[in-house]
Amino acid sequence: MEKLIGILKSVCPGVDFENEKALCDDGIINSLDIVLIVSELMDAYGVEIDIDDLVPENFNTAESILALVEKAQG
Amino acid sequence: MEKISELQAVKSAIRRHFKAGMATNCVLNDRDLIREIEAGALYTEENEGALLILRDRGSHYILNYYVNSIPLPPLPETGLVCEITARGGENIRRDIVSALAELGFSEGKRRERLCRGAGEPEENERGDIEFSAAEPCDLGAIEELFCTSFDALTGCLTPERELSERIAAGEVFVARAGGEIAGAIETVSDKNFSSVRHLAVSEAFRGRGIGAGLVRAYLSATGGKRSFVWTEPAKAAAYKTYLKCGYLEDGNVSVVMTKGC
Repeated sequence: MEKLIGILKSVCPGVDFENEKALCDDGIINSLDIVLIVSELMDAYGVEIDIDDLVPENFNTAESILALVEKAQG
Repeated sequence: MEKISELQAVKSAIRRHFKAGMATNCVLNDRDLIREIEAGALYTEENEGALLILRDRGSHYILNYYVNSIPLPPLPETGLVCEITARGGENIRRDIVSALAELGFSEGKRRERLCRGAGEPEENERGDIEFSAAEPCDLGAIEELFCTSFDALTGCLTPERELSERIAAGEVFVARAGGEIAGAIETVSDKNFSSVRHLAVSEAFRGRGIGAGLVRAYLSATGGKRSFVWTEPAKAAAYKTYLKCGYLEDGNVSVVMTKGC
């Protein structure tokens, strides 16, 4: 989780990824942020994330983003 | 340019560039893409490194890019507008700005995003101006007001069909003075937040706090949800109106680039 939080904060500085529970639903991150985050995650974890997975539910919390990475890792 | 008539065709193209690690200035969701396809307004230009999506607005096209490497494909010799956004000015993709400049684009206005945290606004005072949700019959007057208040090219004016849908959804509010529309605000609601798309006050009614009244009427109708607006610091009256209503800069900035206009 620490590695993931570091990546998220490098893309979206100032966002409280440890505690926010509705990052997309509250408008704290938007679709452009999601594209940047996913690009970084694909590089950092060597995984492939499908464009159909870029839905708000997968990006509302750091935990849901980690679950997406773990799903992509198989 | 290739005219797109099927959602899957454009989604497959986006997927190809996404897998290669793309940068984009706008993520169009399926609903947006379907609306553009149904209006016959969606075109693409593509090469190995980039997909350019063009939305026909009659006098010009709005350009959305999905880029994983430069150079960009060639573009039609017609009016084009492209807005590049970033968190913080230093993060604007200068390589893409340069690539667009090579295709004949020039940098125009800069915009900043303002955010207002959740919370009910002050109530509007009762007076001779009435603030309310727009009615379907207000469509023509609202369109005319927006057309006279915003640049046709860079004002991101909403197509009539979409504006009509927003009125029906209760996302457009007007200020009435007698039988006249003195001002209007067009907004879009999301789950826990909403955004202002356009705010305009008729010239004859400016300087009377109508802009702030419209913002308060809209915020109140959303139950005081968090709200965002992209605005130009150069437009001092609008900028001050938002600050007065509790909005603050949130660090997101954009540069608008135009070509052939």
